[in-house]
Amino acid sequence: MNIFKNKIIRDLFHRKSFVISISILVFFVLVAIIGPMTTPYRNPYSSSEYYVAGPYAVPSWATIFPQYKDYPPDMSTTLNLTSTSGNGYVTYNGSYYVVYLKPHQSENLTFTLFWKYSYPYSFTFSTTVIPYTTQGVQVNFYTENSSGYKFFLLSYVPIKYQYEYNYPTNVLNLNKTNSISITPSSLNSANSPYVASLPISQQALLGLQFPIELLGKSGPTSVMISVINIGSTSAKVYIAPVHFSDLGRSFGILGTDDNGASVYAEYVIGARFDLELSVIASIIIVGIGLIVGLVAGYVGGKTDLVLNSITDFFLTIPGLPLFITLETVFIVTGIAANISRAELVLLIIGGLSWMGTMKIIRSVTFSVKSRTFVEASRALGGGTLHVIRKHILPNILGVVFAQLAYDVPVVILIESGLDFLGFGIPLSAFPTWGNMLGAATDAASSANSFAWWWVMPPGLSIVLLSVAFYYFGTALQEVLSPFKVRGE
Amino acid sequence: MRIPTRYIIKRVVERFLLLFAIINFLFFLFNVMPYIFHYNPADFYVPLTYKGISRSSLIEAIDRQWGLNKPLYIQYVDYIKNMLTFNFGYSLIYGEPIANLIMQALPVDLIILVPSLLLSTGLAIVLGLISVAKEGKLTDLINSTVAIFTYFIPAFWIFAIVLYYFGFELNWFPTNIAEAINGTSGITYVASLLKFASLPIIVLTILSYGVRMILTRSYGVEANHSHFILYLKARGIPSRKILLKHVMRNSIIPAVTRTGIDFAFILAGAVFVEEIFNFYGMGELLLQAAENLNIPVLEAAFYFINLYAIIVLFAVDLIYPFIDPRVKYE
Repeated sequence: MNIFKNKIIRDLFHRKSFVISISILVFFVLVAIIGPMTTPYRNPYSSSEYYVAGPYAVPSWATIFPQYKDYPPDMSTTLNLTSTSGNGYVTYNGSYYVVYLKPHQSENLTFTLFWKYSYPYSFTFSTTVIPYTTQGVQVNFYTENSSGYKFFLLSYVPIKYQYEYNYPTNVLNLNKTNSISITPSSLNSANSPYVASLPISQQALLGLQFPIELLGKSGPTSVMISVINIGSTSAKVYIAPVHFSDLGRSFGILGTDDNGASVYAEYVIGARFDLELSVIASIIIVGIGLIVGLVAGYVGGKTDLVLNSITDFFLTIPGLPLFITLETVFIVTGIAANISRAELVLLIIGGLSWMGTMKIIRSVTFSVKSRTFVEASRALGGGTLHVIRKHILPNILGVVFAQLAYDVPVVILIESGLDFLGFGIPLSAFPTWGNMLGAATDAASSANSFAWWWVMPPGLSIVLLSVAFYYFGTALQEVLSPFKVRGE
Repeated sequence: MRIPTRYIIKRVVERFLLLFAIINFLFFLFNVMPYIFHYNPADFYVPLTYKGISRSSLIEAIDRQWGLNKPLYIQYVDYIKNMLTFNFGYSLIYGEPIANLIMQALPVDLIILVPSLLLSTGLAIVLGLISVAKEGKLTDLINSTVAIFTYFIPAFWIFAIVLYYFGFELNWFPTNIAEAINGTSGITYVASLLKFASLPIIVLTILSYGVRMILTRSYGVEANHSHFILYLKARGIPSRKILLKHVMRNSIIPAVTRTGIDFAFILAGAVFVEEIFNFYGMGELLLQAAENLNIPVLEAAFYFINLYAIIVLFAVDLIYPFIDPRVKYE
């Protein structure tokens, strides 16, 4: 059976606003369901998932814009040996370059990176050195930027030779595997001849400055490994091809935040949470509002007065301060000790946002109740439950469904606002759209940088999703209401 | 039009019963809950030291001052007495009487909220009537859609963006109040204050006109289709005159009522404006008090806000029949 033969469905799909809104809703539902599966990150707010790229990395696709054109992505590549010089002998055994050196001979191996970007956030050159000898070899690491400026970064010598040098050296273990990596943040005046030669004021900034000095311009950048046999016996040194990796300044679909965590992962995890929470809260809200409103509107009289007064009572107390006060009280008293913060927020929002819905349900119940067919049904002996089930509910169904849809954006806005102010889901817990906006705003005021890829997606999504729910609800109300019922 | 005394009495009683209920709710939340759950609320809002007095003796003194160690019914009587006489006490954290705190916070919100409320009502009525005049046309569609979109824009998000862009990037507006009013006096003080406040006022206006515009539009459209408008049209009265005189009178009522209700809740402050523009008003006062469970401040602020709200709502009840002659006092 074709569902489009159903009159209601057909009516709905004849409305442009409904078709557009349902497409937006389907899009967000897909993002919430499929999104988290498409990213390897489970919680970008835990420090283990920081620095997947440099902080404030722009989205990869943004590199089509001229101002981000040269931003490097995350890269990981093994460099090629481009030249050798010296009086030793070099062979390649498939995984290592093997350098044979007689006493006092030396050999330079140059690996070149063809860099075509501006500077990265950070980089790492890594290699493995296995020196086979009885006395000693010195292994020096130089890098040369595209302008030809050479940096003497690290020097490795066996421990017994270290006192012979007037620059900082590191320990080279003979006949063992030495894993060596060069990264700006680990270079300091105690291990690097280059850093030791800098004035102290510049040493502190090296982690940020050195990537700019070495890889600031595009062009061939090379790492030269110089091996010197300083002993009196011959030596055989295995050197693995140099591996280059970097933390780039462009990353993924939505870039990174101030911790270098994936914004896309935050966004999709936040989308799932926001949708779940707001739909559940909306059901709670409409549940309470429907019961209270139906009873007040149908029974009327004293009951109505009492229920309506209670509703007015909650409407009069300012909402946001009350949410936060109650949250604090519940936490202090330990009432909330056994439930998570998300559940607490859900209960408080759900329990204190039903008043508007109640008023609307009450007024439509009133108007349906005063219709002649309800009177007729009662005159024929229909009981209260029968009348409500058979006559009232079907006629206010449109309004009820519309309220379900209308309350979702309300909840999203309240929840995001609480998160933004720091009273919702804590920043240490997990990303939500509100948390993203709160963190982005804090970062924007401190770093004086506006990360549009971080600020815009959650905000625009809140707007789009809310508007979609609004039009969705309006369409449902119009199609499902058998006659015009006028709410607020 | 005479207002029947019976109606006034009924309304006053209703509204003040509501206020009484709220006072009782606050007492339950802040005095009975600690009793049930065995914690001393003074622990939360007493600073570590105050003028060299140790915390424990401060707490003792507070207990004595507020009678927190007395039985609940005596606390209750004291509490009601304090609220009715506006005796809110002294905040040790802020080092000031709480009534002063509220009075200092109030103007901040009034400067921003009153102008934006008036502006947004005006904007809503103008745009709503344009939509009524162009009903069903593209102008109407765009107009209404924009109104709905603006309604759903998260305030904190758009404030942060406009502050960053117009404040920091373009430097059109001062970014904090101290920078704005520093070293000014007299006319320049008012001018610079206005310059600082204008950005939040404009944005808040745009964010809040949506509901009123949609209300104006839907009531206007309904009026436009009614028989008396048809009759006026048939008589050959220019449509511009019909719109501005007859349709307008019928369509602005809900928007104006709504403004009255919003005006009642103005004292709750504009939390997000204050938070983002570092503009210390009622919203921030409540927020900080709620976070630290600063009970004297919370009690005073909630009571004050609700008292004001109830008075304004009562005034709206009285004024309403003047705005909409079809409504009778009942």
